[in-house]
Amino acid sequence: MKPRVARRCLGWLAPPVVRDALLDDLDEAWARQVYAHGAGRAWLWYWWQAARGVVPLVRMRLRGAPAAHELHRSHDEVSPMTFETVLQDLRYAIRLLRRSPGFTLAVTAIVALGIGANTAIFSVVSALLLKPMPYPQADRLVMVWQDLRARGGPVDEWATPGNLVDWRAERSLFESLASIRRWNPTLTGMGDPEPVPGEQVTQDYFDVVGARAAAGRLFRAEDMVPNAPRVLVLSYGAWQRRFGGSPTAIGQRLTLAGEAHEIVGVLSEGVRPIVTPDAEVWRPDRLNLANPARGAVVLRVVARLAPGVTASRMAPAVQALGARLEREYPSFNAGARINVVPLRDQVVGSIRPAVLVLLIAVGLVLLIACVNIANLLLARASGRSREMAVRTALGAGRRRVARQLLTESFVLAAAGGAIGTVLSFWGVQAIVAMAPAGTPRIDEVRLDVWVLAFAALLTCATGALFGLVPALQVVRGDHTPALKDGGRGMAGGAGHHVRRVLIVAEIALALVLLVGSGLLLRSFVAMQRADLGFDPERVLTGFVSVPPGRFQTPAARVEFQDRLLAGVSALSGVTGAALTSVTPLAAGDSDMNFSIEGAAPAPSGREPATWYRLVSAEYFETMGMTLREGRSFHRGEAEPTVVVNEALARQFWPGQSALGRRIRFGGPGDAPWFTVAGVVADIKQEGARSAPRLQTFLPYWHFPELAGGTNVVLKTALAAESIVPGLRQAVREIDPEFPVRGVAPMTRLVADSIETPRFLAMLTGGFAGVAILLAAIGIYSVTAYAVSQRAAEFGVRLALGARRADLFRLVIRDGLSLTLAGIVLGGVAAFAAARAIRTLLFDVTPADPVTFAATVAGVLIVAGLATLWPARRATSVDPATALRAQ
Amino acid sequence: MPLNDLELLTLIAILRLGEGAYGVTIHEQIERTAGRSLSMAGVYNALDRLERQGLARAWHSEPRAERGGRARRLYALTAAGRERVKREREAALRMWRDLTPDLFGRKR
Repeated sequence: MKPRVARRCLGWLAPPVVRDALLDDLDEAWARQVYAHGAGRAWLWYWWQAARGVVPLVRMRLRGAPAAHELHRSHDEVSPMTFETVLQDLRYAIRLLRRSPGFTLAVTAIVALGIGANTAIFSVVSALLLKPMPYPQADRLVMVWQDLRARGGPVDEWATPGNLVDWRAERSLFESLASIRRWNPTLTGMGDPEPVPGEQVTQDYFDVVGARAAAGRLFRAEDMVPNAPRVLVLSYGAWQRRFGGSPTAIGQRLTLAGEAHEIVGVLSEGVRPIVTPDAEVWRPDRLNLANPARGAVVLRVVARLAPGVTASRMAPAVQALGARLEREYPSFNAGARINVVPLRDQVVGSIRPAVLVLLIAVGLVLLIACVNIANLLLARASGRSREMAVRTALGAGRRRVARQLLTESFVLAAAGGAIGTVLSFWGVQAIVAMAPAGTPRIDEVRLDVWVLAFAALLTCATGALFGLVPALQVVRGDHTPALKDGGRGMAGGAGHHVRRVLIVAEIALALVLLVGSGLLLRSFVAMQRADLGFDPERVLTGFVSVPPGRFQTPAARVEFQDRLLAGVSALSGVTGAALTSVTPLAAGDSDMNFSIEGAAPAPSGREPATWYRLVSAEYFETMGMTLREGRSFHRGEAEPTVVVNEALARQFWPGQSALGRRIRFGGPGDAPWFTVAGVVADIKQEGARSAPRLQTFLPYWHFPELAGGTNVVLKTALAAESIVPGLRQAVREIDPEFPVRGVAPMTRLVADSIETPRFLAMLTGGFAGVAILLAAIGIYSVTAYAVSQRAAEFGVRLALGARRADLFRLVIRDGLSLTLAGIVLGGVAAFAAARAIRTLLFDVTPADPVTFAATVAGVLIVAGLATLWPARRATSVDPATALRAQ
Repeated sequence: MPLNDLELLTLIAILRLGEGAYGVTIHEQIERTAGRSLSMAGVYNALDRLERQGLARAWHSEPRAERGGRARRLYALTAAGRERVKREREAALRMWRDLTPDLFGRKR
């Protein structure tokens, strides 16, 4: 089989004089290659010949290209698209564009910005949403959750060790399956005590993610046995940083959480932990899988699907497995389904809408830019209509002329695309630098081959988009008037009509962007102002962690917390201090079952649950929370008390007071009863968007065994940051071995929680600004051009007695009619767009009247300003001059 | 006009091939004898330059039966071409004279 495509390419490139000889010679040599090395090698050889032939053949062409213009062919004859004519068109286009540097520069700059911005945003889309996750055969990696929606729970509940065992047995579905638990031990014995992010995983974890050891070994079966020696695997980064990458690290011991762990291995470079991106250490999670706990919801599960399992084939199998397990363990799995989520969706699913909105927004900007450039080119084409008319009259084919125009557009697009691609390099850096902290996969964003290919494709599309309209005008239009009347040609006719349509489109597109970004901005402002149920101003939080085994008795733990609270309360500048196990807007929340005195016992597996935190009595006041009913608890009460939130009170005692009711925690048993002493207003635990949760606040002194450390919350008289050194000093005085981590003003946590909306509003706002600017330029250029073309008409009108104010009104009305048409069209489109981004909005309806009214007013003002200048020019027409020019 | 080395190799190849010099054989000669890898189009590019400088000329052979009746484009050196090869050879030989084969010094 001859490589026909390669042969045709060579034939197209080769100068006619040697074309046949070259192809014949290659055929002959190819036949020898087939004889000597077989067809496959010969095929490759031919392509190699073709590839290496490009440069010499182009050189020959450039050396021998005939200089004469070939533009004048017989009328409407389709001239073949040979290398010569393409080269000619290119040369001619470049010469022409160099003759009007201002125009060329303006268009190139617009294209460069448009393509640069699009390429930069696409690099984000590519890295976050398109590229496979950085694991071998990443499309087979999934996270597995319990789907508890049937019993009013979340769709992505963590798994129990029982789930792990049951799921792992399903070999036809999962090739391997492992669980992950976060583990944040404190490292001691190497300088200052230091918290180290880590994970406890089951044996298959490294197989699932496809990780290998750079040194030493990974986990084995014997590591998983209870009471086996404590072993540890280090991340590559930790190995380099703490041990300088030395092989002697293997076998050394690290004291983590007060226990010595032997380092047995190091992960290879570039392994990305799934749950804890910055994890440095892994240790075996020695779950009792022979007799697994079925009630403890503590595991996150990652799995590798069996080969050949696809999403469509998986669904029924997952369904069946869920149903079977429900029958086998009704007390635990009643109403529980299994939710299998592809890893990429798990990681980037939450930010996908925002990224896509950005891509569409930046695409719209480019579209508007294209419309604008098409407009400029049309204006230019109408200025050149005499040239075109003369050419066609002399016998140039229309298609040939149109192709010439298209070539000009492509040259402009190519120049803009090349510069834009260079610009996007900085664009990507800026985006990565500005992106909200914790944006998944943001470190993978870069300009790679795919992004560059996208830029090239976009450049071609851009050139075609803004080049086609003027080119079609030439093919379709009637050039005779251009020769007849005083040279106005297409300007007054079809060309101008098209330009007006383009302006309407431009305004409509800009309106869509403005409304979209306006809604996002208002959502962001609403989130910023949202009442979270607590007052973050001048509040400082920090976590004091207590190494396990540090306090032998519950009383010692309580006493430590008492001392800590007293110590930080006494700091100067602190007006209020409290302790809590969980702060708002932070991870680490957990829940437990409870039962209500006097209520019928709930069926097993359906007990009510509440999110709980262990707090000191001053917590509510320090956090600025509102007590709706009753009071906080205090030390020394005869009977233990709790405070619940409104959501809980409303759900379990609707329409009644919750005060005095008694609840107890854990399953049925002889746990002590707690009396509800107060009800606090709900807070938004996970930020402005989150729904209120059922929360219970427990006095820390009643649950000493649960304390693995505690958050300190300080209300300060001055800026929260000023207390940081004092806080650290106070903790050090109690025990120098207790690390304080995550010290941050509450206001920063609030700001962090709305960083993605902020970023989105900022970027789309910027794009919308560019869009309205481009639209204004478009309106201005079309109106100004129309005014200049109608100078004679205005002259006549003035001569016949029209007032200058009438002319002014005429031009303004003309411009505004375009604007209004654009606003109506754009308004409808904007409403549809706003509904599409509904999930990103907060406290704003898609049809928000304020946003729409403000946007329309803004567009009207900008359009008015853009027509004002040309309108003033219309009034300054001198009738005598205008008529003489005619 | 100076010749680049590929053009010089092409000139010599034509000289070596005599009457049988055309694309395939010239290409083969350079690849085999000089040990240089190049593309057929590269050969034609060199030939084009040589033609323009009047060092080589091309003509068409009689149409032949086995290649669809097409003629081969054959090449030969012009008188100027022969003169040029001679000069290049002498220049090169002069440059090599007095150098020991191991290239480290001059013969004494």
